[in-house]
Amino acid sequence: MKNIKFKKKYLFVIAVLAVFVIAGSFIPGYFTFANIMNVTRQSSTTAICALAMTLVLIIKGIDLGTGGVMAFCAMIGGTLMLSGVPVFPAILIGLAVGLLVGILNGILISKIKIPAFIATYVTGQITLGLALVIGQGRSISGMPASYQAIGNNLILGIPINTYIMLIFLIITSVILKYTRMGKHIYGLGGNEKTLQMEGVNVDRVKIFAFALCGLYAALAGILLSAQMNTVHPTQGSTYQLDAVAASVIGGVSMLGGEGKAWMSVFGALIIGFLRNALDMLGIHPYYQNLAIGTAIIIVVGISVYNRNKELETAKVF
Amino acid sequence: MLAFNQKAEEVKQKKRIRDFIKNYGNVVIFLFIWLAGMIFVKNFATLSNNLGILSQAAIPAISCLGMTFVLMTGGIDLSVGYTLGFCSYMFGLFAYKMGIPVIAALLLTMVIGALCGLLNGLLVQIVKIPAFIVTLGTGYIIFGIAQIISNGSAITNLSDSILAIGRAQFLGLPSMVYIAIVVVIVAWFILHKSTFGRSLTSVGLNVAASKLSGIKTGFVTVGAYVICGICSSLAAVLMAARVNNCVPTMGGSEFTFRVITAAILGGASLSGGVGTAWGSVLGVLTIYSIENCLGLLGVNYYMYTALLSIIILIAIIFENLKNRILQ
Amino acid sequence: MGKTILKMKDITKYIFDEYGKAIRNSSVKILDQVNFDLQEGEVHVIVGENGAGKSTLMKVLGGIIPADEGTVTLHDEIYTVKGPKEAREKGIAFIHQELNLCLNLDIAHNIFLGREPVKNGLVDHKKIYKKSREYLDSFGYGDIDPRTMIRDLSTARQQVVEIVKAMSYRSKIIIMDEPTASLTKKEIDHLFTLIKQLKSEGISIIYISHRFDELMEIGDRITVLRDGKSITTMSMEHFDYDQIVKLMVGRMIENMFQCNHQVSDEEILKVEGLQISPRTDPMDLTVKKGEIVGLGGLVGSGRSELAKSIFGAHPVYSGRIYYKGKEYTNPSPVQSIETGIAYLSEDRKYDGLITDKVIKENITLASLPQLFKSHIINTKMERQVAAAGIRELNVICRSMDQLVSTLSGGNQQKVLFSKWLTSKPDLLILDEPTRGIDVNAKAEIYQIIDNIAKNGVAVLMISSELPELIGMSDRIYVMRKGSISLEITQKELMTQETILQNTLG
Repeated sequence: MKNIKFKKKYLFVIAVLAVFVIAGSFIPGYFTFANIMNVTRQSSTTAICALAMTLVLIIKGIDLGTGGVMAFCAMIGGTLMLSGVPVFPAILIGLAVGLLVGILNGILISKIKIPAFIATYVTGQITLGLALVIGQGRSISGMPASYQAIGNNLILGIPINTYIMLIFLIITSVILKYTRMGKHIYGLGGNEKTLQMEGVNVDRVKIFAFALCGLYAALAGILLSAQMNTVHPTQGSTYQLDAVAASVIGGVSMLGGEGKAWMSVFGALIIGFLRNALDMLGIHPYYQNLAIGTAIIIVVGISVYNRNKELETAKVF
Repeated sequence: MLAFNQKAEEVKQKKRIRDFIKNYGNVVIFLFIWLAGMIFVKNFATLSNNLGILSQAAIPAISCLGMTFVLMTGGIDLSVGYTLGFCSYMFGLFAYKMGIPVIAALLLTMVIGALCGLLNGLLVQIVKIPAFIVTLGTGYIIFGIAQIISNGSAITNLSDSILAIGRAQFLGLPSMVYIAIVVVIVAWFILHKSTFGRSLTSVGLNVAASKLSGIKTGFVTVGAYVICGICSSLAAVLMAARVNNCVPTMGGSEFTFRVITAAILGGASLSGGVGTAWGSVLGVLTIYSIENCLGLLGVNYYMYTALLSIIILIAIIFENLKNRILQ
Repeated sequence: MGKTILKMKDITKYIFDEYGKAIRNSSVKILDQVNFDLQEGEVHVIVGENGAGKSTLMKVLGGIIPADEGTVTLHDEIYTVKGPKEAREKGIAFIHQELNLCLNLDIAHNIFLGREPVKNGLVDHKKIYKKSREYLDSFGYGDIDPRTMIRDLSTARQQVVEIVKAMSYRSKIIIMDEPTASLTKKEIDHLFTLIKQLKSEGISIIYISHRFDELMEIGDRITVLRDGKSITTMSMEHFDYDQIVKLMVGRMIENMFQCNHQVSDEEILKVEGLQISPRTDPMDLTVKKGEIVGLGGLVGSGRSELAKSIFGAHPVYSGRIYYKGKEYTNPSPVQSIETGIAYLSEDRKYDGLITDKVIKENITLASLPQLFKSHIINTKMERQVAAAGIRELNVICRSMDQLVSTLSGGNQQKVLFSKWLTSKPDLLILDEPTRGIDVNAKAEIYQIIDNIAKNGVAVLMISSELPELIGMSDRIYVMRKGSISLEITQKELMTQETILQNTLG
């Protein structure tokens, strides 16, 4: 049984790579180094959002406010930079705000017991609204060169964005696999009652997961703006969708308790390359969203159907 | 003996307060906002201002009624804004580009709305995917399809007869308000006087008991989403008629947010089974009154979008805490 | 065996809600001055019918609910705990029937859930797997890999994990609630070997079960509970099957039952070769017009599933159902109600009534298509129907617009009856019709059921209360392990002992 699951995962990876190789050979310019680097850089943002979403999906939650946080924290950082605050502290403040929004979400969901999708939906609208307030509906640009450098420079031929993403991938993997909190995150997704009976502070686990989610979303937004040298108030909206899609494709179950950080990052790469291919084929982003929305429904539908079948056969009579 | 009587009285009083808040919480919130507006905001309590609020609230109210039906099944529809845009374009397509008579075009558009709702309902009921994921995805799907059909263009020359309906006024109120009132009455009737409405509240409160009582729970759930889709299509046609613009980007996520929060403020419970037609109306009026106040106070447009969201969050927190404290 | 380490004295618990709090205005006792003691290194078996109080007593011991009266002493110290975690810290582990494991984690992580060992700030996987390996080995399970996911384990193995986990906390007392319910003979042998090993290490086991052949093999002493009271405790050496059965049921059947109905010859329901699962034996069953047929058996014997299969709320794996002489294919609740079959479910609060709705709406809930053919609710008619229902069954309430949740258990049950009677059934299936209601209300319900049969309705009544079953039924079927084990057609043969013997494994 274990071997079959093992093979299934890697089979999936190989299959996807095969599809890309085949598809890519039909698209001119797809396999150039420049293009691959570009896509990797862009996917890094998606990947960080996917990591954020993975954390909350494992505990059977969701974050529908990722887009808002991405815009809001980047706005705060950018505005501070434009008023003379040095880049590094400005970024830190932006990240701190993201963390706080995440903690707020966690408290709303665990202590006040507001369903995750509503809590994050509303806080997402609040952050989006505030982002619009700060920029008065417009985007801001003209941040310091060092900020732009973070988003665009290469070290050893690989974008800094990607290094940062990899660092956070490692951090997240370590948290999930090697810390008590990580174990409890999986446990919570598996059986909340059992975890409670073992005396684990379930509320704290939830707040932790959502707090990190907010932090990561802020990071993603800040990196994105560094790359574009602009902060668009609505820059986060597509990433909202892609974060869910990447996690779901990466095997995170909507029913909780399952998911691996690197698989979600891989899912983000898939989405990134997919969008790139579609772009090059001249397919408008709106239609790409259609495809990705459909993909989410199909993947989730299959996993829910399978899980329900499992539960049916487990019944005694 | 005395102490026992005292305790019994206390419990009775607490219960009365609890029931009052449960049944009339939305009225309390609305009155609170209205009184606050009257006291603190100049020009709020004038007749013309309030008529203006009614006019603004009319079209979203129609969509909010549909959302209430969905919320009562314990679900949610995040795609209403996109359904609205899609239907507005389709109406323009039918009425203008294809030259179909207005009434037929309206009916066809409502069919489109129903189909969008049907898609959502079937995915939620049969495949059993959580509603927020389904409607998150279908939102993009519907928008994408709308874009494909419209090819990025808008339709802006609706016939005069349609525009006339859009601009007609009667007793100082636009026709929209009267149409909305009719829809509210129909919704009220379905919700409170029909067996469908009774089945809906049953399913929302206890699916297992409903099933065993012979209630067609699948039909009811899917039906709620279909109704929501139809409401959005109706709102779409009215909005298109008013602004003479049929484009997929009409409505969108902002509209969706207003409708959902209006329904929640109006008393619809997120866990299902609770909701009223007039409650939804109150919810919409509350939201547009807040907007109006903020506008009159000269609050910057973007600021009040943010403030509105914050107020809504506070209201939801209040609603959830109230349920927990009073248990 | 050894010295007494646990003493439970005069434990009393009144009927409680899902939060463990006593339900006001009720003097129904779930436990009534129960005495129980446990010696070191013994396997102490507790037996009793459904509702005798076994699970509740253990929940008190396991810290899940508090006792209302009485004392518990553990190792000569007063024992009060606020939750299962504290109970375990004091050395008492409770292995429930529904296992408390995270299916998405492996064995080792489940054992260490909540207390994962940490080295240099990170979880020490080496230690987790090493220790789990040790624990498993010490019980002879060298073949189980601690890295196996729980969801990939059989129920038997999952149970082993729970036991190993309990032992890893150095528990001195382990409570096992129906541990062999889903095990094969071989797995049961393994379990018993494990239990014997635990005994030799001085661990005491409280073993709840109704499988008498196993009890004799593994038990040292046996305590019989009946109607919330502890009847007797004796050594297994003196175990006498008939005597134990007598003690489990031995009660006076009060004359609460009148019989004013007459059984006619017409067969309303006939079930032929019905299987409620692919693994159970086919069943035959009939119910005549005006007859009250009792369906006995233990919890989990499949009675509700049989009832639901007839009604259409549970799949039928083979066999046929004949209703009023015609075959009833593809049963569904909608169709059943339409043709005149009604099913009064076991748990009125869960799937019987909608407690957040008013009485009036509950009464008409199953009859909406019948009463309101135009799909529009006629308020006047609804009020008339509800008033009639309330009157006929003597539901005590302030008004029909009162929430069902505010009614007493007995009155709620009457509303449930009223709901089904409103649908004018010719076959009424009752699932535990007097569960959780006091004696007076029970008597009223029995009268109601008798009247229903008198009006020519065929009644199939599931009941775990033997006096009720015997007092009300014209005929009795007894179920065991998903199929029928016995049919009793003569009143003289309906004894509590006979029925119980045919329910026990």
